[in-house]
Amino acid sequence: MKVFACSIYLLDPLFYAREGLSAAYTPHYLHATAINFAVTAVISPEVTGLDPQHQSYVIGEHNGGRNTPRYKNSLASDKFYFTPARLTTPLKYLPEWTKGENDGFVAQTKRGEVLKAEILNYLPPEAEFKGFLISKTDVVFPSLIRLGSFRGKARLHLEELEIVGVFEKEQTASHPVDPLITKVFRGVMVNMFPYPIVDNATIARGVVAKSQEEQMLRVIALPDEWQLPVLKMVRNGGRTIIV
Amino acid sequence: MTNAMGFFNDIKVLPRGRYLQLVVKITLLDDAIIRSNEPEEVLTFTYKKLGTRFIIPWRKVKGKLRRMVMEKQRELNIPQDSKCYLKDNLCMKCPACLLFGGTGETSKTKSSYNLLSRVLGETFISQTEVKDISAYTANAVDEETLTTGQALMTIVKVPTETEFIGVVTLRDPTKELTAILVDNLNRLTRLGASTREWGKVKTEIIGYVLSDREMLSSYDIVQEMPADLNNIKDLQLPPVEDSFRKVADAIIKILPEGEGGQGKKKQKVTAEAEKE
Repeated sequence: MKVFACSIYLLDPLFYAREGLSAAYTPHYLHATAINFAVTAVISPEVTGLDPQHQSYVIGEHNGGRNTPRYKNSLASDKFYFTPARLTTPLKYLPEWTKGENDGFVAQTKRGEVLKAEILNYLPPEAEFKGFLISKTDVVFPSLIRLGSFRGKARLHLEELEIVGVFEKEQTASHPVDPLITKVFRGVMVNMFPYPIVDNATIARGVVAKSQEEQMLRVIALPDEWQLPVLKMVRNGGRTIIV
Repeated sequence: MTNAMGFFNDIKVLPRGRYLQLVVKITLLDDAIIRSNEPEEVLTFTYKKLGTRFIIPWRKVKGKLRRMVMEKQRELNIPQDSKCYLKDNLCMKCPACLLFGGTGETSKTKSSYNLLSRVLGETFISQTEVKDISAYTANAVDEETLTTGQALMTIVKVPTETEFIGVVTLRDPTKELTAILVDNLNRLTRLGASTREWGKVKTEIIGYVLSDREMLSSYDIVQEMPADLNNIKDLQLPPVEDSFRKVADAIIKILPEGEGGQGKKKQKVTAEAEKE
């Protein structure tokens, strides 16, 4: 098992909220469903193990239903898992009038009717999200992915971390947690689609990792159905832990 | 099922992980009105790395491009048995719908399926930083009273000769789909609002990359042009008219049976069927 710090840098404006429930403001978190399915859309189904029909160009009753969600939770592949990510750059919005032409989130225009459109609040380019990736196998991850309602481009950057320990007692995760994937005891619920995630979450099991440059330890939650890695402690003294 | 250059020979219902990325340059031959909605506005964005640049949202280019493709296919009498037009009457079975996608539910045809777009884009970014924005005052003088009343306005425009760079991506390209996209990109000669007066542009495809994933972005290209671009002329694409007809025939094979297609049968999911 390998653990990576994951950075997602927006190259295009990002919008994924829906009017009415979220007031057309994009939340400043990235849901794990968004990241995992954006990555699996680029990697071939042989690698991800995802049913190819989930990515079909033609979506209808013959392959699962047009308006039926095609996932139970954010665990897209049994080989890797991206945690939800948090915005690390200052929050600012890029408002833009958008004539959705009946895309579902803005009013529909009709003949003879004064043009109706609404402001959508995008997160601007150069905003950066940070989360983690846990990978069971060596997968070549893409450097560009597409996110949001308009499938804007974002750059994915990974930095491998060193796993220095595992834990099976309550800890606060260093990242927002998907409660359908990892059991959460306490935390702050962040309302967003398709279901809420939990920030400052207290979790029961996971791994502790650190980067080569930073001495700060990161507490990373594992999906409940995944086993903790077996680590062999060689030496533990002073500031040094060798696993 | 690919040819020597890596293009697919047929159209399939499932993605096969190949991306043709076209680096596109749009040069303004006249001032252009690129705005989101306000009359006295021009679309710019201040990047930390690039400074303040003019931008064209992808949806503005995509909308125009789709209309060009639909215009061309109408000339060829495609689709033969129904009309297809934006925004409420997408036929969901023509080359334009295949390329740019559509939602069957919102179309008047009420198709029971949606089509995912095979053409992906991104924000076009100006190659140089914003220096000047030209303003133009328009009026309409009443001949009798010599007054303008409300008919007086200022239009803010992006200046002539501004060059924009963007990347247009075609997923799972065949030579025919590429021919349609390339031909219509080259036919894109007006952009923005009030194109009867403004927005004359020249659209050029600088080069292409065919890969198993997307590697190029306009954000990176305006900083440094990639050296390994291939020349689009080397592709020797088939005539666009033949391509439209071939693609129109091929779509029928992937659409569900009962919807005018020859693909998989439409399944009706009922409570009884679920129990079984």
